[in-house]
Amino acid sequence: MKQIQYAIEATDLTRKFGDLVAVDHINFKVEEGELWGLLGPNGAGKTTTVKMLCGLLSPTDGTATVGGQDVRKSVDEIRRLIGVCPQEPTVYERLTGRENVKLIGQMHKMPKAELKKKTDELLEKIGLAERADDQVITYSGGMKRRLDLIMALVHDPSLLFLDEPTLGLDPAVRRAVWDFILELKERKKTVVMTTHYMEEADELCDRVAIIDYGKIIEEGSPEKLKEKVGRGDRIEMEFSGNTETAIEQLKRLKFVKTVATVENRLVVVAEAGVLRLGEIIKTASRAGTVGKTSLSENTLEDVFLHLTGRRLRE
Amino acid sequence: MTIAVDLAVKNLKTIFRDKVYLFFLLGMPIMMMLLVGLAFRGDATAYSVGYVNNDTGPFSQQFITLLDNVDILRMISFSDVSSLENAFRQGSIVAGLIIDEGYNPVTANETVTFFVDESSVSASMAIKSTVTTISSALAGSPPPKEYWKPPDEPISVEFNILNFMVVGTLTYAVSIIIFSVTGSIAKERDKGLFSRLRTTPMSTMDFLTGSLMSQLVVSLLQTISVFAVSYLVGFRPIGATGMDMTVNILAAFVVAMILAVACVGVGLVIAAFAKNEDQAVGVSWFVIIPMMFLSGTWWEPQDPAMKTISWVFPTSYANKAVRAILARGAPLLSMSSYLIGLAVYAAIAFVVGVAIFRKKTM
Repeated sequence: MKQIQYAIEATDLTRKFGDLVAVDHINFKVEEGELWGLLGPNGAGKTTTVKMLCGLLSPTDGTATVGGQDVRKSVDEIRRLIGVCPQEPTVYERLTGRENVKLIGQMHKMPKAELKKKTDELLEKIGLAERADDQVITYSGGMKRRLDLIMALVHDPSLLFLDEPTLGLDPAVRRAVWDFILELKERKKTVVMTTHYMEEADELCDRVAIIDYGKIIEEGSPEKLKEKVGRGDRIEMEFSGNTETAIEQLKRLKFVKTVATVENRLVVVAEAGVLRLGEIIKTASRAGTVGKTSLSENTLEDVFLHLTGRRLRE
Repeated sequence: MTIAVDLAVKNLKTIFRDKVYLFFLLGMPIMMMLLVGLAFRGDATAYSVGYVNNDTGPFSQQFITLLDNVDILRMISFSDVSSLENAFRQGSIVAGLIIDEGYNPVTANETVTFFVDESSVSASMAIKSTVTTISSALAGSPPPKEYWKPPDEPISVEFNILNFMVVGTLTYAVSIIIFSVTGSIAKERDKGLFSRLRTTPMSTMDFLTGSLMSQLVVSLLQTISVFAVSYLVGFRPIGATGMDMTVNILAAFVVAMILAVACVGVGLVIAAFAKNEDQAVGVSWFVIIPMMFLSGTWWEPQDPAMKTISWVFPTSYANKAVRAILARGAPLLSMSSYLIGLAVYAAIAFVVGVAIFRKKTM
């Protein structure tokens, strides 16, 4: 029987800042070659977790191993293994794109010829080759983000931490970054990615841990998580009237999996919702007035809503 | 070590590509040196010094004659103390001497009253220095009263206000790297660049050593450029006749570099405590300005308490040493107490700076 190799194992990992518990005794394992996502709203503890795994913050309690190395004892060894793409573009604006990439390679003591080859290759692949010798101060936000990714990858790390890799990017650049991350997955790199975009976690991750107020509240593949809420369609209706009665009546329908409210809307997850849309609207209408209604597939957003009663981006 | 060198190269690139920053570090000291040179160059002003001579012996008259022979002094006789004081208050003289009856070079301290207008820093320093030098020279080898005559050669008075100001401007130029160190390190920390580098095998010591190396290069360039401009505006190091000043000039550069290490250390301490770049820059000026005012950069503090406090600033040691080496031709080793003081200061400041920075950034 093949034994699973874990790239990361966290045990009761905790970080406090004064009285604030940013990360609260979390436990998780990331397999080698897996693309693992940490999904949660802003301030949930995603970046603090990544910082502890990279050796930038010491855990207040608990521990973790990264590549078999303890984050409390072997930070130097861990830093040789990892590549990190921070949440904000973190590049030297007075250096050129090429010089920024070269600097990270130099920090990893890469041989000159190999560094040059790898830099050229990545700049070409991520579409920055033409502007590689311009100072970064002249780059757009999307270009800086792409440069960030190249800097995380230049030394060919076996383990990558991508902290909100598409935050603030326009859809086209986001798609390009997604493609690149999927390519890393194909190359069997272990990737830990934080995001508060549910569609990003859904599209890219093998497994997702949902974190809220510093605690992991659910973990599994996107499909399994969605199944927990109930596989089905998602119906979102503008509603005014007696919300409690509407929820109660909707829950009595056998095919309805969950019902929740978001602002002035009712969100219903129902099996074969497309076919039962009329019945759902009719039931809700008995307790008030139903307005604009939309139908979509169940998402991780619904999982989060189901678990916390809040939306991810509230 | 190679990582530190790579970081130093990166620092220098970022400094030299930022024109505003570059002007601040190199352009401003050059401009200041140019202005100091233009303001203080040329023939020294002759300062009017009034005197009342109540002594009828030969020494007092010869003392006045010697003072009058100095280019920068113009001696004016007054018949009584009251008219001397009136002239001083009206500003027609900047200093006054009252020589009591029975004056003798050996007893000059008891028989001569001397006052000077302290509001004019250059006049005050120039006149005090001249009067003290001549008085000391006479007191050092007082001839028998009956055979006394003035020395054949005029007594050399080495004080030169341009030299005084040039040395101060030179050390000031080096000391502003405190601002540069704190600003650049705090900026890297604020923008997450330091954290990003810490996710690589770079150690904090590599980072700080790289910073020290790049700041030393900047300081060397500052010293060379400021020194070159001082030459253009008329500064010449003063040594004994025929003395080769090359060694002294090189020694002054060495002192400037030790001062730079001390300033980097001070900068690291500030950067470690500052919460952000703005605070770091603000606190830097809070240190640089008192340093400039109290450590003899452009004037010597007069108050004894302030003189004592001035030793907390590395520039106090550097000013004393460089001024002696360049403006009075003192051999380097004769300034060993100041040099040792500065070197110890630099070592402690850097080690403490590194220790605090490492502790605060963990």
